[in-house]
Amino acid sequence: MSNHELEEFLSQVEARLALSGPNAEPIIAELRTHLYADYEERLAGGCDPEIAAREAIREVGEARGLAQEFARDAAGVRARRPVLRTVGALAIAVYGFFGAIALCDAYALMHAIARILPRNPNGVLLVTGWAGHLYNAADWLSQHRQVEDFVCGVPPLVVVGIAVGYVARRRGWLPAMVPALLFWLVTWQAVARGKFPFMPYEHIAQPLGMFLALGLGAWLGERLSRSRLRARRFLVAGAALAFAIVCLGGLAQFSEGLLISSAAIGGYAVVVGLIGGLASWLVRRLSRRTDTLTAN
Amino acid sequence: MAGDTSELLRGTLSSLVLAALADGQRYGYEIAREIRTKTDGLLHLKEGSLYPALHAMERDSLLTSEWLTVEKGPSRKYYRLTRKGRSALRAHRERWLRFRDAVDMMLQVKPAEGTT
Repeated sequence: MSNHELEEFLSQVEARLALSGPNAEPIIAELRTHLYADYEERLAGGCDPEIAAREAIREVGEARGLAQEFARDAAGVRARRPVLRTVGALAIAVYGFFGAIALCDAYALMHAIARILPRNPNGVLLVTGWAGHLYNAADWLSQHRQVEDFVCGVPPLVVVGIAVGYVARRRGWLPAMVPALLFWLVTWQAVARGKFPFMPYEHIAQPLGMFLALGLGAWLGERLSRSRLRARRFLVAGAALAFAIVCLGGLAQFSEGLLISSAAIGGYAVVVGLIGGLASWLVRRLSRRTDTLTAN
Repeated sequence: MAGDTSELLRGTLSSLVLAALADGQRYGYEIAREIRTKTDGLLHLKEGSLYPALHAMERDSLLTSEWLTVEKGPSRKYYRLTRKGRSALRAHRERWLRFRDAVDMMLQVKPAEGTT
């Protein structure tokens, strides 16, 4: 019974690691050794077999979290099937596109703050809209990372976002993104090489990378949105594509790994994009109305 | 592992693993147990931290490993220090002593306090 529990747990982890490539097998073998050693030691200490198995499993941790740790560690995380890899890449592209809209709002927010706009409805809408977006980002981080990563991850996200938005307003998107890109690369490499042992990769480089993707997308989005019709077509096409990707991800029953992360990001991007698009539309409408009222 | 020392543990994880392997080869569970026992249960490594660290150190040629079959239970992956790992351990020790002295000086910890 207890051995069965251990094996069942291992097969759960194995299923979650299946997309992590050839490294999954030795990892499972090593985990099996660990679990059984812990189990045997508890038995030797006079523990009931069932309780021993349960405690050993609890000690190792929830399969999901563990799989994430190992998947992150597995060198060269690669999808086994090229089609699925393509789906993942497409999802990332869609994420970038919708991120564009989100950061266009950040740009507008910077503009609003600069003019102390929160006094009027446009400012309130922008601030609440952007706060909602940050809440979404925080929620996403808290679901996919540990709490400490979430706490450490969000402040850099906010600080870099504000800094990039500020420079972008003064100098344009490209000059703002190039230093951000360099900073991200240097930080990422430094952390990866253990130069900052107290700052794991996900605390700094991942949030920065995420914002970088948003910023680069914003630059692209700003260029595209010069033609409003074209931007709207992109929005609809992107939403449809992201939705399809999420459906495909669900059909393929992925639970962990690069592809499902990408699909999840795509799904998140749909929400952000729709909120961003709706907020932009509302702001435009209200701006026109305010302008008209002022003119009158 | 107590929450307030987790930051310190992150920075010293590789040193701890190297030290746990100084006496000879051990498999993952044994390494975790060795660290826990020798530190009176103060340092408790999570599996999600230990195994990625072991794999990274193996990639950096600080450790070498081999699978060995045992009479009872599944086969085990034993890790042991390479020559590079041993010299890394010496370097870690020296660096740690300097670091500890510096922190002691800064926090004005007297030797008697430090040893208790």
